[in-house]
Amino acid sequence: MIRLALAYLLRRPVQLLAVLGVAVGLTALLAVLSVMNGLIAADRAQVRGPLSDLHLVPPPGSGVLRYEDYRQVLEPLPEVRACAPHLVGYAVLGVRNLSGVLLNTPRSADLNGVQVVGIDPEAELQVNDFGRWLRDARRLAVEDPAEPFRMPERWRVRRYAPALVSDRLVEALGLRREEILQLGALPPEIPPPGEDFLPHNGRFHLLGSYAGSDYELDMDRILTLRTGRNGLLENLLAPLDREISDFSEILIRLEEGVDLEQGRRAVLAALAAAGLPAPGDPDHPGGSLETWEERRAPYLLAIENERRVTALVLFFIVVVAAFGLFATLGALVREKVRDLGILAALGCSPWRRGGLLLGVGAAGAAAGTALGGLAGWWLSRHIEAVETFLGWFGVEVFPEGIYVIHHLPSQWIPEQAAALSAATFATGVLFTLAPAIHAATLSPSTALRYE
Amino acid sequence: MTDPAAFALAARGLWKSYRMGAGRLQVLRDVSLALRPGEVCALMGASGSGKSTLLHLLGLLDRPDRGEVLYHGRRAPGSPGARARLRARSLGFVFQQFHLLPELNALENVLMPRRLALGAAWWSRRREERARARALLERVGLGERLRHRPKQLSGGEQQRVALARAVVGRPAVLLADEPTGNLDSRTGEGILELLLELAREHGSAVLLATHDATIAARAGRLLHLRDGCLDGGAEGAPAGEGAAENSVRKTPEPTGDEGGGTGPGAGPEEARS
Ligand SMILES: Nc1ncnc2c1ncn2[C@@H]1O[C@H](COP(=O)(O)OP(=O)(O)O)[C@@H](O)[C@H]1O
Ligand SMILES: [Mg+2]
Repeated sequence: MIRLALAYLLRRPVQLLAVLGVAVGLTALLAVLSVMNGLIAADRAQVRGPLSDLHLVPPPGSGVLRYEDYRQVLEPLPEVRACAPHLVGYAVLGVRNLSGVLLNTPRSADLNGVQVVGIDPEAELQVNDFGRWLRDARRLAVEDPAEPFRMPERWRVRRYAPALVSDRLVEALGLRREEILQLGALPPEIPPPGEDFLPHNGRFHLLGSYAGSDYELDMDRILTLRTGRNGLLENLLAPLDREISDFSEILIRLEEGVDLEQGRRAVLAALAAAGLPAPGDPDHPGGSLETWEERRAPYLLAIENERRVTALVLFFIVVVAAFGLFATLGALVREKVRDLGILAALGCSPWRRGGLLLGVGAAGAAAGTALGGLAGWWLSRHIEAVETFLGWFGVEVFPEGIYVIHHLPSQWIPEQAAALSAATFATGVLFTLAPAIHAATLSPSTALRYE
Repeated sequence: MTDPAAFALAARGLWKSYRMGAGRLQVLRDVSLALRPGEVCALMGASGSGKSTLLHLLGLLDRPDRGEVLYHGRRAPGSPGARARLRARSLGFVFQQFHLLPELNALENVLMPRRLALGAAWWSRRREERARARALLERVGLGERLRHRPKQLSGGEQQRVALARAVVGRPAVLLADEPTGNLDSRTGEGILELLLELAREHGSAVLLATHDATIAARAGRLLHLRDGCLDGGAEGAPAGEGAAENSVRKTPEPTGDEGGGTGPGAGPEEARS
């Protein structure tokens, strides 16, 4: 029977063409999706940017909190690789002009509301892409990315705090190294009635820039030291207020292989056991412990959705190709009616007659799937060949000016490829069902008389 | 009264009609017959008289409007699967157009019924089955043509392969539908001879449909299909009177005997299947 099925499959070139169609459909599907996977992976890295795995914001109103207390609980956890504090203040940034520092011209965009983020550079380097960004800086790269806030020897005399801004901000404001940034910081609490709500003037030396990930945020963010003689807490925020927490948020990097949810549960349990204020505390509502994916959920969901839609659209190629299988096998049954009648006379049951056709279809679908899977895999491995090929026709895949990436990325996800191949095979077999049922149910007597 | 189980094949009160436009074409009217094991019986009738129709009903390839078919006294099963099994085990077919599977060679064609009958058991028995099929093909004089496709064989050779295929499972009943109809008279003679010999060797009863009186003359018993009715069929039928003894097989003459001297084409030559 297998011999017969194979003979039927190889009988006509058009059937092999249908098989080839399935293969080409699957190849296209796999190749395009591997490029999409690559794009998504690049996008995710881009989107993730300054975020770490988990972001802990303690409930507001839980008193004055110390980062050290939290560090001692978090760092020993087996799930946690590193953590780093952020202290966030808000300020308006003014830039000098001829007459001094300009703080308020409605006609100028130079006046910026900014986030001043105090970080612990050593810890920060452990939890996110900060180190890479420092190395990738295009404008005012720091001398030593491992110690970004170290002032050059000759600056030591100056007492202003060190600051880092993104390349984009450097470009937008035309900043220069060593430039003094003037900030009018807002107090972290609104004072009781009767007291004035006064901004506090702070000065910073611009030490350098970092690459950033081209997000709005980079335009509105100034990085400086969190604590210490030149730290944000002492210099800018503390003088405004009696006493405040020395961090606003803790970035937590999980160990390799620890799932985000698992990490979140472990962190919450440890904080609860230590009696430290944490989100979910009934006495102190608010606060949050978010994964980075949650913080970027809208964007991530959007690109994930794009991938799904692309897969769906491309799968139609496969369906159309499988339809070719359906059409040719339908023709095969019509052509082979008499032989099916002969088989019936020899004692071939309807099930086996249907099975024979299903076998032909399954063999075709399997051949198409295998061929397409292999070709797709090869293409995803040699995607630069596609790029070169397109280059011959003058097509530049990622024009320099538009994209941050300059080469077709490609990522082969075995599970995805397996699922799509399985779906392709199943579709092929599904389309064989109708011809198979026809072969099973035809009357042997009529079939034998068929000319 | 004869015990119904004494008959390899029997039919009782078969009716069959086909839809013809608005009306119906009544092909068989109350046809009954019975075949003893090993009996050779000719089914005569003009072209279009319903011979093939009757053979299809007896061979469980089609279902009658009324009436029943019995194998060894038992009613043929109703389910398509069981009917297929019974065909594989108890029936051999020979057709006018040979009906070999064109994708398979002679040996594979002969083996096909065995594969279908044995199912999974085929894999443990395939060596002996192959040897048997090869011996059978040698027996019909095609020992050198095992790997040849039907296209590479002449009509007579194809029919010899078909004969080997029909008897390879030692069927209780051999249904032959004008087996010589597509062959010249000389070749047809040889085929007929071979068919009768093989049937005897394998212990199969034969029902031989033909419109050719010279061929029919070779059978031990004659049935005539006229206007949908069968003359002589009731003889030996399970319900029939003791006349059964009349129709005991007249052993065919040994090979070499030139049967009836009438030339070919004596029968009406209407190309209808
Ligand atoms: N499937 C069918 N539909 C309609 N008429 C049929 C069908 N099969 C056979 N017939 C008709 O039934 C009659 C008997 O046919 P058949 O049994 O083939 O005769 P024979 O084999 O004796 O030549 C013929 O008139 C034929 O046209
Ligand atoms: Mg006929």
